[in-house]
Amino acid sequence: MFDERCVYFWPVGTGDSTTFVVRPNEVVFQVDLRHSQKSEDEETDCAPVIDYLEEHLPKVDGKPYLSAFAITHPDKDHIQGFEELLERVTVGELWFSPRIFREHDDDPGSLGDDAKAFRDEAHRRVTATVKAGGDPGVGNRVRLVGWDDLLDEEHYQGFPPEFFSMPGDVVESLDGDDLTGEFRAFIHGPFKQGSDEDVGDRNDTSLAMQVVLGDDPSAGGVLLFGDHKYPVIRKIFDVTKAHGKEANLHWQVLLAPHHCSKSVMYQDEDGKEVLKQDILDDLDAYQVGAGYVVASANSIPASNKDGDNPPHAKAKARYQELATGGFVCTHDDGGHAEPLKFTVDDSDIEYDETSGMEQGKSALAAAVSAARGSDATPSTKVGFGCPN
Amino acid sequence: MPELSRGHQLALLQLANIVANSNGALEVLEPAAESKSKSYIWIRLSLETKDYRTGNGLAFRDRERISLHLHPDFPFKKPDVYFTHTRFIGTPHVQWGNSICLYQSGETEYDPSDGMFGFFDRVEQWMRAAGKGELDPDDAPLHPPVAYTTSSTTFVVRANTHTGIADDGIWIGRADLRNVRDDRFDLVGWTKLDDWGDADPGHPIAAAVLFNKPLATEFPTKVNDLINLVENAGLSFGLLYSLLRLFSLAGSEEEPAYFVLGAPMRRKAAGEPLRPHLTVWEIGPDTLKTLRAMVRSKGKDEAARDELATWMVKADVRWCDVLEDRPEIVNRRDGGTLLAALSEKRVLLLGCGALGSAVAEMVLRSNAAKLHLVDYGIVKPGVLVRQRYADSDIGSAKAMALQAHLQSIGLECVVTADKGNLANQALSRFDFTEWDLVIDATASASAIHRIEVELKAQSLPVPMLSMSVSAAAENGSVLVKMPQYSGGPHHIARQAKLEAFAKHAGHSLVKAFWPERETMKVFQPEPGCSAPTFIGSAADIDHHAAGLLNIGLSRIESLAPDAASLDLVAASWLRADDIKRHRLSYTFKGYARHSEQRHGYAVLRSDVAALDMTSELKRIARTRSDKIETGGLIFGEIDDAHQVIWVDSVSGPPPDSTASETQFLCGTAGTKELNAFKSAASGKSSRFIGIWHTHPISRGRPSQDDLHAMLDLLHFQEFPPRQVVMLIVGHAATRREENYYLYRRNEFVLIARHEDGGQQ
Repeated sequence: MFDERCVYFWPVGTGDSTTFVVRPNEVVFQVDLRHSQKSEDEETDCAPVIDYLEEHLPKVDGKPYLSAFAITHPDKDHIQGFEELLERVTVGELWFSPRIFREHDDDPGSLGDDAKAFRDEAHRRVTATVKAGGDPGVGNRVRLVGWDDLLDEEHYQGFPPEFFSMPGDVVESLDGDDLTGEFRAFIHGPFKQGSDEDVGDRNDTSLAMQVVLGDDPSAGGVLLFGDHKYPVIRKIFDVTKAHGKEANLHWQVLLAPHHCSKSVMYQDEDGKEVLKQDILDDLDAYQVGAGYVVASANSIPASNKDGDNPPHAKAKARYQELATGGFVCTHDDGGHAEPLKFTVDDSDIEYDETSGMEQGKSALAAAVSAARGSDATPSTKVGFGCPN
Repeated sequence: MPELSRGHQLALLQLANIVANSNGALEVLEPAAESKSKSYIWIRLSLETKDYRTGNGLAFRDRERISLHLHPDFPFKKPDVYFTHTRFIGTPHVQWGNSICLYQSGETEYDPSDGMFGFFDRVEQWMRAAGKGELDPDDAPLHPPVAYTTSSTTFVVRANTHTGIADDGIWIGRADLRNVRDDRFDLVGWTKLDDWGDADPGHPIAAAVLFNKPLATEFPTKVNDLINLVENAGLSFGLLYSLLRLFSLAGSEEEPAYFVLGAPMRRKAAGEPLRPHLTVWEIGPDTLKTLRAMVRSKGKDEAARDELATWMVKADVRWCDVLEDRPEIVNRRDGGTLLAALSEKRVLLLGCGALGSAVAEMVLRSNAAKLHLVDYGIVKPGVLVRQRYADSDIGSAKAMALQAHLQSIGLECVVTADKGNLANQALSRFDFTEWDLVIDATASASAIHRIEVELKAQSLPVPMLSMSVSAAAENGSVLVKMPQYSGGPHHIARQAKLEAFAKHAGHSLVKAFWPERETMKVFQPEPGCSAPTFIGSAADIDHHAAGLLNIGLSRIESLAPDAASLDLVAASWLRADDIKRHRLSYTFKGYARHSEQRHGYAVLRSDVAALDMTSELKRIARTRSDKIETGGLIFGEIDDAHQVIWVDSVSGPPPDSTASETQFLCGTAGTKELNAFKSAASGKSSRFIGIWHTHPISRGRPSQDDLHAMLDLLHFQEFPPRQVVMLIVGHAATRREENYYLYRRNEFVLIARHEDGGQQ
């Protein structure tokens, strides 16, 4: 399963679990995790991600070995099952932004068990790293994503800079391996707390990055924007362009932020939902070749009611207009409880289509037919009456 | 939000129905946006197109944005539909980069009563075909590419490109032009560069390059892009530049030059080979001046060179409007119609009056090769009411005036005219190897009679169609004579009359064309001194002219070579009691032709008469012996004018007749009644004209007894005829032969004087 360079998007309900096979059977990078009890039931179409990882990850000292795990933010749908993962798999390096836990400082109960497990493990590794004054070794490594003022904090003082990345930085190593030419992550966010760019809410603290399995960002990579919404993504584009680093916006695969939420391109303005075409135009402009938009979410309904959580049909429709390669959803496409797989060939990222195109009667033709109506007489009695 | 018309509201309602049933496949993004076009609105939509994508056709994304541009008079004006991007530029049926060409003919294919439903059905079909790359399948005509029109000059392309013109690569040469107007050229020929010669062609020309492979379906708007386009198609820039220089010297200083570009991108019908689609590029006088300066300075004029470079990089291409009339790609609008049978035909039209002047123009427009007009008359003021002449024609010969009018229409047909008097000489003035059809629209009895006479001496190897209208132009008649039919229009009319009286006596159409003499009203436009004509409007006449021409042509198509027909047609607005039958049709073979042996009259004997005789011969053979003579009365008409004897029918022997092996005594019992019946049943056209009898075993020469009988008939009856026909059926028992003799009363008087005393 991990024997070629590829990216997997796992069907985990409405949540994220993304696996990058950077070097076949050797270096695997996981971004977010959602492994539910439910997924272990074969009847569901959710994949038991940890089971797969345990089975297919390369073995080091007889134990499955994951080079690195990055968390975009500690919501349940991004971190569920982490505690179990730690037990069953050796995780070489953790990536996180301390800011994602700050929101929970005032209300520690708001963090789930898996989030707490992550936080504790991360803090353990920070302490070990500071203590080592450098590389603390496999199983203890951690990459901090944040701003320089972070290192002034007591807990992080003395943290070695080689494991510290700021937005705008490029990371080309995983768990101490220099992967230049094979792996490149450009950190887009989160923005600095309290800065002009800090425009969002809790979700907007998410780690955002472009991951390229190669060395050329302009050839387009995988854009991971966590649960960001329009304002932050707008800022990401604007700031990146302002710094002349547009290559890091190029994508062949875009993981639809916040599980295909319409908040990426629709904003409430004066009580009215307004389409933000500018962000769609930008996304289109930085699409390379036949790009794919991936929704990591439950099956997307044909329409939503007001207040429905993601995934949103409207967002899907906008992405469908945008993606030259196509729009795929972890629960609508691919095999039963199997991940969507994108193989990487040189710099090309290609979707492994497991099921053929459906060529049934077009929805439009059926819609016209239904709308036009039949000329048949009523099939049941129809009563008429007059008032007494 | 703009103000919505009733049509807009209907559109949105129908659209909402479709959207509601589409399960998300169709989404309204913006229901009514302002348009720059007054009263129009834009409807922005998102359509699921994933299922249309197959890998062979348009690279649809999963969804595509489309916009409808909606006229306030929807559904009577169909919506226009656009992609909101130009990713499909250059694709067939995506014009101007984003306009979706849904209908070949919106007029017929779009149904207002089905509104948005039918429209979106069409969108669905289009998208599906586009996704499969089947918008222009091999078995369908190609949609022409688009070139933007920016020049005010129009080109009409008349000349076919030569077959296989570009099979051997790029064809380079010149287009030969005809300057029709200041702003219009006709392209009338092609001359390959190799065949050019040194001589001045003597007419305007344009450079022409015909490529052997298709170019983009949308032609560029910038000179620079055009140069790239033709370079990619295989014409080197060097060669293009040489051509430009060459042609810059060919025209006048002040006029633009033209460059015809062709590429195989048109097809007339399914399965036909590709033909060039032609576009014409106009190069302005200023650019030509620069080019000339370059030529004269041998490229050393730097200012000219800079100017030229700027032109090539920055200038817009000025495309001319090209209107196609090449037979190789244009389907005639009258293809398959009755009149289309006249295409390439040579037509002789007799009579340029009311019917004739209308018919002439129809023939001209049918793509006839030649049309010759004959009329003796001049244009009088009164005829402008219904004949196709102008006030300026008054006093001129009709034939010549009509010729001028037809020539001004400017079609290829060669129109000639002759002010000939058809009453004096009709068909005999023509060599019929040069004509394919005669149309007689004279409605002139004297011309008809002249034709009838001439046809006795001359055969007419082509069909003839003769038309007329009844008094008051209420009814029309058209007769057709096929080449081997013996007899002319007069004969046909007579035969038709017999049939009409036999089958439809009393029908208003029959009455209209064969009226009782006392009921005829003659209309004289200038009472007292003018030729009689009929009352009828231009509308009446055009209706009949067109209808009669079509009926006549349909007859020519279906009749046997020796047949003829007559059709009588009532105007559809008439309200006669028997109007259920607007048309009476008669078709028939000609009578058998014999020669009368004393005066040289033609004898035309009907098949019915022959059958009647056969029956009687069998009867006598059966009842008595085939050696016994028999005979009876002959009914028909002796037409001295045309020197024709019509034998329509014969009777058997009247009951009081007697017969032996040597004699037949024709009785009289019942003959008066029989004659009255025959006369009435034929509108007085078929009456007693003589007696037939047999010579069972001898030749059909008149015997002494026979001559006595003639004398008796002509001189010794109570009401003797002026002349009488004797038919002797010789060798009646074996090899029957018909011998006709016409005897006149005065002939016997002469003989009696000469013989003086009486052998006779």
